[in-house]
Amino acid sequence: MLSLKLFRHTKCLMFTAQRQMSFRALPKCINQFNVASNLSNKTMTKPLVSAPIIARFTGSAAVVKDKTNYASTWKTERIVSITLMGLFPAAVIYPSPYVDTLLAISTTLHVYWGMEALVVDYLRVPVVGNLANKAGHVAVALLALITLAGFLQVTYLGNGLGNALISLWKL
Amino acid sequence: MAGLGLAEMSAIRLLKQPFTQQVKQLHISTVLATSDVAQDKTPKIKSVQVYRWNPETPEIKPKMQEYKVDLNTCGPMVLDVLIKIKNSEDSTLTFRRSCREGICGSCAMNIGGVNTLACISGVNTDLSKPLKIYPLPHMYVVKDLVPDMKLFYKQYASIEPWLHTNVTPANNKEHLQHTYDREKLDGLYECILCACCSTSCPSYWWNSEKYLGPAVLMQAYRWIIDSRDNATAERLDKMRDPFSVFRCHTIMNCTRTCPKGLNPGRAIARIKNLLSGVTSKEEPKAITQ
Repeated sequence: MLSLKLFRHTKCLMFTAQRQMSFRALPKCINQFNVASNLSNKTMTKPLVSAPIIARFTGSAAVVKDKTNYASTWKTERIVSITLMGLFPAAVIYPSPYVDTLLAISTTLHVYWGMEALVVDYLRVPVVGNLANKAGHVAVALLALITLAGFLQVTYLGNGLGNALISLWKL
Repeated sequence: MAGLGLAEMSAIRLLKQPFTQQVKQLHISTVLATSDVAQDKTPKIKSVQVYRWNPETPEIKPKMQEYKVDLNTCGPMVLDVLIKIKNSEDSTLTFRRSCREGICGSCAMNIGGVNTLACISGVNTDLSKPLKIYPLPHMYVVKDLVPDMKLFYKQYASIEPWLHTNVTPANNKEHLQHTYDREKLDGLYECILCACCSTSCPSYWWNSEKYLGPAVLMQAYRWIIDSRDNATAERLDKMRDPFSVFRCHTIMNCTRTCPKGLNPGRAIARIKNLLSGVTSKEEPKAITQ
């Protein structure tokens, strides 16, 4: 019984220490939980009943959590996809190097994010290994660069992206 | 009442009940009588294919086992069919079930390619097609139709699904909430955590260790927008990484499959909006008493 109690206390301490961003009400909650389990000391069922609950509370679901803030990236992704809807007709109606460059950059970004999501989902490290995963990321980045270079070439050395779209449509 | 016969006993029982109950009973008896006459007595044999795997014989690969069930002598739901098989044909068939009315979420399984609750999905009476039953997809199988829910529950615990507040309620008893704020929880609190949505989500299949999945995220949102909860910022900060929320690609399988008709996809979209600062949580409305 004593060892179990000690185990629980150390677990609780570890729990609060592990979390940098601990919730305000959490320590209170755990105290309440301990009080509740002390009350059930008299019954013989305590170790059986409380052990799995403790394990459940202290268990952390995330294996290794990436600390980067993805929210801003997501917001940029959304803004780019919404502008793309306006940029395509704009490039056809008002062909100019500025609109074309904007269109080239945002299309490239859009394609890059989409392909990167494919690599993250389908070339996962536990399945294909670290090397293939890295190679996938590099390949997608290269592809994006080549796409951008191609678009810019059409814009500045060729007819312009808007006109290219029109001639593509005429085919 | 020792000397009375069966018919007299039931007559007395009927007379003792209130009027509405009597009417109900008469209705039921007439319905039963007419359905007895109308019922076709030829057996309706439906073939049922069930996924089988036994952990005690791991060398035998998982297989589909076929059973023949007469739908005339069986209840209308898939769970009735499973119980019938377990009772009369094969007692080794293993599956979870409890409430048989779609409120416990135990009998979630993949029926005919769709994740749903066996107790509230009817058997297709087209006898030419077999009924195929698998456990929830992309979960570790404990036995037959029983999936391992450990990770799912761990993820649910990780969002700390209880009220976090440092405010002592004014009446020292309960945290009051305006009806306007309470309405925001509709469509969220009804979730029974059957995991049908999470296990139908390709993103959850590929990244279940890091992506929380629609069921857990909807519950996270339920606590994030609760007007009584004070830990909104902390709750959101825990999800800013690229995986917890943002692995959702709005595939919307979750919403399509939910046996309770809820919309986890929308809840995730709202979390994304809150995280990126497009929207923010409303201040709780004042309660006038």
